[in-house]
Amino acid sequence: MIKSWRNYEALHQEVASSLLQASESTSTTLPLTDELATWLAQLSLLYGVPVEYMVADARLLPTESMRFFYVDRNWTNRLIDGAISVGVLSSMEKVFNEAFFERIYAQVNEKQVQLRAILRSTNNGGQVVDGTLTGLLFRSQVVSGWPGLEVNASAKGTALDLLRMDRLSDNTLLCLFNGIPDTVDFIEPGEGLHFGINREADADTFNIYLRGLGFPKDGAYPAGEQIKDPDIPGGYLQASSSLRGGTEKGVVAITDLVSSLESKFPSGALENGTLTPGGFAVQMVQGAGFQQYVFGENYPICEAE
Amino acid sequence: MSEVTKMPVWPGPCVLVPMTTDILLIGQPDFNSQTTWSGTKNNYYNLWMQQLPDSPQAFNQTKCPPVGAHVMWTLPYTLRKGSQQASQQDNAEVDFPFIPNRWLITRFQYGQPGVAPTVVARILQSDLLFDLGNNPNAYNQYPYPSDTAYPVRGIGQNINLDGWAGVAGPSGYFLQAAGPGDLAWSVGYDNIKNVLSLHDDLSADAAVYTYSIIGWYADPANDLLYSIPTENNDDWQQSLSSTYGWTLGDGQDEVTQAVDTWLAWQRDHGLQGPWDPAGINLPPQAKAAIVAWYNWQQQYGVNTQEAALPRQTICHSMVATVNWQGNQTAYGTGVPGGGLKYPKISLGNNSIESISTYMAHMVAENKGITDKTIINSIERVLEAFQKDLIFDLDKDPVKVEMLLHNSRFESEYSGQEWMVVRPENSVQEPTETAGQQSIPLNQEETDALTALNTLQDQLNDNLAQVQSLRSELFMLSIKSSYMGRKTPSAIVTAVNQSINEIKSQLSDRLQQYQELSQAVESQSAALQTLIGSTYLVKAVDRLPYSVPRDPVIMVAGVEQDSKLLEPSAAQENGELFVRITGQTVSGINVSYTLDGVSITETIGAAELLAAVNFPVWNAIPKEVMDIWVETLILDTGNATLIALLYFNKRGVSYTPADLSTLAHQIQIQQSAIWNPAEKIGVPTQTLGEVAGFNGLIPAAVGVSFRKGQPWTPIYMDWQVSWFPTSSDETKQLTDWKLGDIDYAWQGTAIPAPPNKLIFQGRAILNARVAKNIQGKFASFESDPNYAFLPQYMQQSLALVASRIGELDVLTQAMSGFTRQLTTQLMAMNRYPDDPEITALLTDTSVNYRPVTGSDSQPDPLPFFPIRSGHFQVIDLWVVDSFGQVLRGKDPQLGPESPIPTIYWSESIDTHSPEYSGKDASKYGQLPPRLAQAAQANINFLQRDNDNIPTNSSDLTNPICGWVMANHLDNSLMVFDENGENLGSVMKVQREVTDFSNALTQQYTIRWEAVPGSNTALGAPPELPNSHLQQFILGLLQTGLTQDADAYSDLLSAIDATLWHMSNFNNQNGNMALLLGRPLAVIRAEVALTVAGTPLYNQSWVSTGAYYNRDGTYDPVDPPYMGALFNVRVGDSFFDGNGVLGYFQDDIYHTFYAVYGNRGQTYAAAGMPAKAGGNRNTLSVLASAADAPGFKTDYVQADHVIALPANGAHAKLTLLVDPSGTVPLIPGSLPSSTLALPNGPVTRALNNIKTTFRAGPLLLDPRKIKMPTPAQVQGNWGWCARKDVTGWNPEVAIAPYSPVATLQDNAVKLIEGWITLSGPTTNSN
Repeated sequence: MIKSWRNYEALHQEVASSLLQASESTSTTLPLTDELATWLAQLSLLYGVPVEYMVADARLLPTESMRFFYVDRNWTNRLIDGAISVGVLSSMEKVFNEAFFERIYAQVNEKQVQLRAILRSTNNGGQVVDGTLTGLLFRSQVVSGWPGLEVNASAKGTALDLLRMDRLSDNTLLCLFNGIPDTVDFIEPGEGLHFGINREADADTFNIYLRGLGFPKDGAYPAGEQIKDPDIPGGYLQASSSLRGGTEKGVVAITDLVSSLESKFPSGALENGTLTPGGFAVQMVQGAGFQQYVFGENYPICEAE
Repeated sequence: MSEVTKMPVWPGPCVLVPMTTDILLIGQPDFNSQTTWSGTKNNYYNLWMQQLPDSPQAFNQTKCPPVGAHVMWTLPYTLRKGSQQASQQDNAEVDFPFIPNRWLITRFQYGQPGVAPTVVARILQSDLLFDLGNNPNAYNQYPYPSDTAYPVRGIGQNINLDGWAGVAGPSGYFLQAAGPGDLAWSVGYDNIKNVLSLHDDLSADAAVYTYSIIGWYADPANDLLYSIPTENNDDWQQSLSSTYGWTLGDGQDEVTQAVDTWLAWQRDHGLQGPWDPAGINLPPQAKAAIVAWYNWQQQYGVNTQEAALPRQTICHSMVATVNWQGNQTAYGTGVPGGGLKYPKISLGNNSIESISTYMAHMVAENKGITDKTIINSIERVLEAFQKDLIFDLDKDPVKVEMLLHNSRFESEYSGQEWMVVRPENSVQEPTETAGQQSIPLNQEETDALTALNTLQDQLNDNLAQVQSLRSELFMLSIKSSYMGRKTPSAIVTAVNQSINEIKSQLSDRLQQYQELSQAVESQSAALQTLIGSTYLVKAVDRLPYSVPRDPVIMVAGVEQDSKLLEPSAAQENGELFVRITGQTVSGINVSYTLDGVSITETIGAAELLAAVNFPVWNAIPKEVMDIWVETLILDTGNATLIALLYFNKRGVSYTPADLSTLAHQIQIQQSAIWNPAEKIGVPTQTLGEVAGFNGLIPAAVGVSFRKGQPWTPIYMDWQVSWFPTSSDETKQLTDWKLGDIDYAWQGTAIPAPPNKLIFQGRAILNARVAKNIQGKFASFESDPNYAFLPQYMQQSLALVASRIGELDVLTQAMSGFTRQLTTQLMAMNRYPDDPEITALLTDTSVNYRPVTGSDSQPDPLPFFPIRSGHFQVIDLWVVDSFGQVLRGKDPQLGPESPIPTIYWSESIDTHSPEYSGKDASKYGQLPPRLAQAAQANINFLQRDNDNIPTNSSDLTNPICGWVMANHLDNSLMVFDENGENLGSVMKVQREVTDFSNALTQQYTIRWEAVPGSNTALGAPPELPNSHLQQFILGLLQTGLTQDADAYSDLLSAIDATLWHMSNFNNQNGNMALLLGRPLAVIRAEVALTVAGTPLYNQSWVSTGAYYNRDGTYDPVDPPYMGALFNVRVGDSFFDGNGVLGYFQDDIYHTFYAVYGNRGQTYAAAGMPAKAGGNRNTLSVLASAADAPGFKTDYVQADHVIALPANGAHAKLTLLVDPSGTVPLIPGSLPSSTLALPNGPVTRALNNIKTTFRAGPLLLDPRKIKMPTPAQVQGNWGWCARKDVTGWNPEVAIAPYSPVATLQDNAVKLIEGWITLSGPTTNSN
């Protein structure tokens, strides 16, 4: 006796068609668990990808070099394919992957932009913009010398989400952006006080702009503000000085510098006409370093996928 | 005469066991009416004379019993219960206890209210045998083999008590509940007249009667309780409960109380200390009786000093309010509905099926369902529920169906096999607890175990042969006794020659049996010595033989009677309440208010015995007077007398109204105690105390107040018309096809045989199954798990549960039907006279009567050793113990027309895709079955030696090797039995020169030896196992002619099956998860065998036809043994299935894909693992109406293995997922499964090392590093060619570090093989 308790003959067909239907439905149910999507998102942000696969030869990224790049979605999708193909025991899993791959990619993409926020335990994840990911590889002493280096990318004035920023080694930095930036700013770490001078390379002389110290009391030269040059419209007063000679290079001649500074201050701007050590420190404060890269208009913009 | 002829009486206490009595009243009008009566009498005289009828035939009609009261009692269950001797064999004798052979029947006749009843008493000498004289048919008979001249006697005698001499005997005690050749002997009225029943020819005048029945053993030594331990209360009580199923009550110290009561009784009756009748303070009649009793005991009785714990039994019963209205009254019938209604009937292959079918229709009617498929599914739910499979029904319906199918067979012992197991207290963890143990024996031990099993096989076969030969010899001896002067000489010669041959064969076999048994014993002992104490050598039962069950008929609305059931089936605690001497009811407290004064008086023995005269007695149990007094006190018909005695005792005058009021009040007291204790929540004894009774109230079964005619259905007579699939015994499988689990009929019409084939039989009804079902449903709603069942299941079950209390059904198999198809009749038989034959037959109980036909008939009788076809139920009778008949069919329908309305269970319902006959509902359908015990077996064989079946030694394991489909490489990796990688079959692109070819033809397959081996490129594989080698060579061969299509077919076949296997546990670590499932290549064989010799047609002309060669025993198989049955190995729809397919009979160019696999996923299997762009393929897969099938002949679907039942083996090389089992689905026999031996599987899986091609990869050639899965801690290696012929040594793959080294020595593009071995994981 044949008992058709289930239509077994058509079981494969039923599974396939129900997967197909589910994949085409407008249901908001996500195909992957959150954990899995997060893992795949990390993978698509190249976590765990050997550096050799990105820079096949060290000569492609010599020291003190920076390479901007697009992330090829084809490439990362194949990476996801590879990862989810590991569990394929039979064509049933293949059918699942085939039916749901677009939704899987979409879910992973969504996760990509939230990943950094998740890893940093902040709430403000970004949004998928146009799906184009870009990035840069930066191999330089700067990476090791300025551990807190900040990288900000923006397009047409709008900041782009930073999806990943990782040191791949002491001197190699990888950044991935959500979108195509037209400007990328590198900023020295903003925290703390910097003292120093600016000079041309190999020059023995330098200039320092003068800052007010809150004297005279009428507020003519507020503390910390640069003092305008009454003679040059839009200009500021500055004092020149030089480095010390001798075998030790790059040492500031402090006494000369103090004298030069004192001489340049307008009258009344110094307490008792003398530059105190505190006043000297104010003169020597340096703002954070800032380097901007702007893509030229003729820079070739690639279309991803 | 001397003392030995006098019956001794028992001085110690007795257990008083209540039993049920029925009384059938027959008046002259009843006698004259046309009511149908059926006889229940065994005619042992006819049996001896070889005349018919010798046993009560089905549908026999007899005369109504004579006018008067027919008193028949039912022995307590314990006395009717047989126990089988402990034996290896299923057909061992069943022993029954002796039953009481002296019965005292006392009749109390009531006349005017208040007048003391007249008491008469009769004694039955139940086992008195008397000469039948010239009129044997006038009496109920009993065989008496010691008189060879006239070996039949009449049995049972009744005489007045006062005329009875207290005779003892007989010396050879024989009386049991089961009569000779008849288990239902003690409940068939016609057999037990004056044995366990009495015809009381009442006077013509009306009167109300009460009967008391008291039974005991004439010889105390034969008493059921005689050997109960009496050393202490606990042992006695324990034995009473466990051995006899009796209890003295639920209290803590009921035994102590009972003993105290007995000692007090003994003292009161002067039986303690020196005998001093003057000191006995009892009512005169009681005193006279005990004095008379004492005197008898002194003269004839047992004079031993008995313990205070009883070891004797007294059965007792009373029936009151027997309202005899004279002999000219019609008392009617006890048949339900007055015999004018017909019961509902359903049929199934077993009791549960037939009852479930009935209940499914009940549910359907209730819900207005008419769709047959829904009714069938409800039936299935109910069946699964009763078999405790309800939770599997939704998850694994195939398993449920297999088990339900298996329950349509009975099992028969098939012998043993030997295993070596770890002892239970072993410190080593056993790899498996039962079945195919896996033990690492060495070669010598393995050889010894194999030899032992070979010997045991011979012994098993010998045992089966002995049984067949005995059966044949028995039938031959009956044939021989049938022969007369007119028997043709050819037949005489054939019978005599056959007898001599079988005798000689049997004698040889029995001799051989002894030798084999001894050899097995000594060899098993030797093996145990050889392996020492680490392991145990153990014999376990083999898979049993199976015999198809006869269809089971269920009749509903038969008003079943529970008195024949064991107490546990009727009441919850399962034990029958009994009392001991002295505990009987001795008085009733009566209160009445007269003139405003209420006074309570106890009316007991003193008052009653002053009023009622009892016969004088001495040679009967001392307890009789107590039971008589109890009868008077409990009898509602005696209430007026009790009331009268009250007023007399109180010494007041009263009006008739007072008398009537008080009598009514006493009747209420008497009735109150019979309220069912479990319903009102008050124990019976408490009720008794409240109602004012002194003493313990007997169990309700022992006291009845007659309300109408009795009805105790015991027999079912069935008659069917058989429509065999073919009249040719070899063509019974025509039009049948092996379906999912069982054979399915494909016929277009039900073929009618040339002559009508009518079979009939009488079977004993069974109320127990229905009771068990009721019990099971009672607990249904209390189990919270049922809430998880699908809604329709819950609803069906709940509805049945709510109505189960009303279920009034009895079931019975059409016992002997299948036997009748093979010219054998289940009947009482005369045992052969020839001492040589009886010595050879010993106590075998497989005794069927040959159906020979006439000796002048030239052609054999129709013979259906393969039961296959259709049947109609022509008639049905339910016969009660008095012979009353409930008809199953309106007689006006005519004798040959089938019963019109029958509920057929799904398994027996007639249907075929080709048949739409409107009469289908009148036919039951029986798929092909061998009518004799048979077996479908699948056995594993040692991988390299087909002559050694796999046993518990790992050295005999059946694993030829392993293959694994590598999805990453599109290759089939091949491993040896230990998991060593041997290479792989790869699909490769062939050099294309002709671009006009289709794309697929651009591929081929080639053998790729394992990376690192020194095999020359392109060399064929050289695999260590020949089956594995043949398999791979056969596969590679297809590459020459069929490109890669055959290979793709094979992978597709594997793939489609794996869809079902996704729910298996991890095979081993995460190997399967990473790469695929290793599949074992297994060697096995299947065979269909019958137990012993084939069945032979018992017609005269066929005698010895298949073994007698003119006096020489030369057996050949009858032609039907060549009929081919289909069996299936593997079923992809069964959850536990591990089979993916197989090669048969060493033919390796055709792979048979497992059942259910038709290449459904061919399209999907061809898809690359990467996603994208295959949506069309997906749509094709999802919408394909039919499976596209396989492209080549290499893989074939829907294969079944055709096997004759003669034991011919089909050798198989199977592909098996080791986490599943190998199911065998024979259809005509039960399904079974076989699991791979654990040890070799685990070893290989731990050892398995996979390789897959990788590249080109950017790697540092000096140190191979790559990311490996974090959760899998396997050994990853890298294997690469050095040049065209040489290999670099394999190196371990270092875990990748995510640090960007960006060294100047650049990575290179490298190709090679990644290897993975021993993957394990700490967490899943």
